[in-house]
Amino acid sequence: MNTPRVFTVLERRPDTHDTVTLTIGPSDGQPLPGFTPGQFNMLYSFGAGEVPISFSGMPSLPDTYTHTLRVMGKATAALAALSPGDQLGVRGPFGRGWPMAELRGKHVVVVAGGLGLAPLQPVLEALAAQPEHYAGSQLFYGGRRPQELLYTERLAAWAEQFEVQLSVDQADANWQGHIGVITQLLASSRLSTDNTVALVCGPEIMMRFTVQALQQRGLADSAIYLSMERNMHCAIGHCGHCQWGPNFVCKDGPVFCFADIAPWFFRRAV
Amino acid sequence: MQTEILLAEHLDALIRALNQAGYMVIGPVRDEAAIVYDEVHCAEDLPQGWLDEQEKGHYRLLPSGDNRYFGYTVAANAWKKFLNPPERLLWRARRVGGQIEFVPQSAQAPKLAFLGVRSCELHAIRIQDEVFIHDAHRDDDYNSRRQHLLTVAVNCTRAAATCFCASMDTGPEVSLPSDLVMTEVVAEDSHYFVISAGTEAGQAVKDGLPLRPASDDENAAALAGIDAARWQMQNGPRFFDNSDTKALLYRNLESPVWDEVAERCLSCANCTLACPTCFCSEVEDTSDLSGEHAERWQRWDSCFNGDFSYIHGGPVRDSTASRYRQWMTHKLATWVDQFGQSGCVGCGRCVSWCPVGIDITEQLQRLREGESS
Amino acid sequence: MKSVAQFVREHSLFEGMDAGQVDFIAGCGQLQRSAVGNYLTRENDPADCFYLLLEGRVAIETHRPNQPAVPLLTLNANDVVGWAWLIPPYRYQFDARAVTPLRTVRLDARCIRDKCETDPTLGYELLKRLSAVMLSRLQCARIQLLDLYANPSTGGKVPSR
Repeated sequence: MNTPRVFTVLERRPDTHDTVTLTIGPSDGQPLPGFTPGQFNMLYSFGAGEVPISFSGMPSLPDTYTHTLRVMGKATAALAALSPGDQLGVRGPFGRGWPMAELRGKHVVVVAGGLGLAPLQPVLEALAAQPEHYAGSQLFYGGRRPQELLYTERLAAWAEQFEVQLSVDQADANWQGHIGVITQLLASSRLSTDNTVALVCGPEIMMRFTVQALQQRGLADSAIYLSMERNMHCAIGHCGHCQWGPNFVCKDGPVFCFADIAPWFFRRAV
Repeated sequence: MQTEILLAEHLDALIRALNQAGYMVIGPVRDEAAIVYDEVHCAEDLPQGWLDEQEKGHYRLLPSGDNRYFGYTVAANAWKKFLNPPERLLWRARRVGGQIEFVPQSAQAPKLAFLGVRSCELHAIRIQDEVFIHDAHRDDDYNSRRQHLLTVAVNCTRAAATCFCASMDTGPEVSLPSDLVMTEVVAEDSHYFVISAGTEAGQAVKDGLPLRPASDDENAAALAGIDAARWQMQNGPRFFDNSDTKALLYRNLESPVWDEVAERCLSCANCTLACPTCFCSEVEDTSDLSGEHAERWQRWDSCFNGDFSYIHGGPVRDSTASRYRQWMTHKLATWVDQFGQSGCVGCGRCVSWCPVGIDITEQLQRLREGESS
Repeated sequence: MKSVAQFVREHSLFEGMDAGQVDFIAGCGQLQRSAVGNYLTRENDPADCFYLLLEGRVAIETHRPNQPAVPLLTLNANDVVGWAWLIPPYRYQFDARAVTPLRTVRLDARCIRDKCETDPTLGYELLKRLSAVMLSRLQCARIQLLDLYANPSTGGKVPSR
């Protein structure tokens, strides 16, 4: 788990001005370990460093991994500069993902903010592919501006299967969607609270307001899951950097049931 | 347990036997003004006749006035550096013609014998085992060093002022399995070790030593020494009831005590480096100028370092108060949730080696007083 | 076909309110449809009415010279459009433009204002309910100001190749 495995970039697709999606496959051609949506890999760009990036592709594609990453520093810039044929190092999969088995038969409410849509994409694909397995699905997706929303083609495709509500902070008069905050849409939408599970991923402030909005709508803490971000280095709970209260975000998370982390979620500087 | 007597004049035989069994012996040695753990070749290397005076931000070696080898309590440094080195090369990588190759680096674990491990230190090693071995992901390098380790534990017959293992229930009597266990006894006309083996490996070493069975009086003298150390702690200012420490910390995450301690704390990380259980590390990725070679190094890190909790935009714990709270709450409370036991063994190193004399037992007391005021 | 009173009763603003009070308010209302691009309010116009949004989306906008309108937020079904009618000088602060076809209940604000002056119980009840709307708008505006989804790294940009 300490030494990366060599992968090759198969496809590179820019999503927005600062975000790119890479599809990668193992250079040795050997089988890949499976993963659960919500888990992550550590991606290493030669000499530039290593960063944790969630899986954003489908677990049913056994030969490749797909990762959407945003350019934020040296390592992500180097990864985003890779072209098809270039190699990188990969460690993983790590952590705990979304409770996929528990979603069966439930009404699934997905709330994503910004880049937080990436780890939820495989969940949404699963919801859209087999709607009969779920009592219903809704997506609430908030972003900065319309041109910074991820996966716009997929958003349109999902909207044919279930309710998709988009919200941006800023837009011009051509934008037909919501302008404001995602919690407004949550507050005013039809939301069943029985037999419902909510999956939340986005900036921590957005998740705080979202959890409060979901609680106000009557969702139990045990029905809310969210994905946390902390400083993950080793990814196996040995280096201590991602500690958050009693949790190691890298191995106990990044996906947590809110009921388990409620005492820590609103506490500052832990 | 079958106990025997190793006369002090035969201590060299023990070191020789360990060497002959293939072990490099690590034990206490005087390094200028402190006792540290380092390689030991013979009994003469040991700090015979010296004891340590420890207090908040204070450490002095003083003549003990007797000829004890183990009259000091715990060395300045912990054993952890021999099991989890402060700096370790994890892998090297090459990039030739666009092809990357990773070469894992793992050194052959040396056969080490720790001579003079105190009970609190055995507990500390077991605590680190929980982190690195008894986990879904095992650190093979650490595990290999542990597999090759032999311990000669020594019961404490004296406590430093900073010792509080009696509060943490980790000593002074050796309370975890050790290959060999000894108690040093100095009487008017005799100087000996009461010795017993806890494992087959320990028994094999013991079999080669010049021993005789221990008498009841000799056993009693050894126990009296341990009782004296326990009495010292139980009647010292640092003795406390540890039964509700976790709850105390969880109740006090927003206590003003954190701000108060932050006015003194330098965030220097000394306590975490001296602590025998602190395990945090960082990795550094480097590459050479040609861009063809890269390496990953792992180094000890500390939750007191500014960038430790960095996520994009800045560190989560950007104040000293939040970092001290993290360290102490982790050590005494969240550790229990993570690993089923406290992360503190009461060795007192963090108290002695804090340059401004912050005392974790005193901080606990202040939290408690804050609740009743 | 539902009556105005039914729509008013079912709107979230009046949920759980005394039936007599709701009936009075409904008496000040009429159903209205608006096409895309129509304005419900115009900046600086007298605030003589407000709207219960039943269906559709409304953009609250301001304008700059020589520039397209700047949408600040949008309102959706079950929202309330306009509260300037409640507070002097009773003038709209922003434009409210129909982004989609709308169905609304248009409420005569003068009629309700006058009633509130003589019926403080109704006045206080309405004020509490509209304060909750204003509070929620204020909170949302603050969250928008945070620019939550901005890249924390100012240099963050996919390298051009």
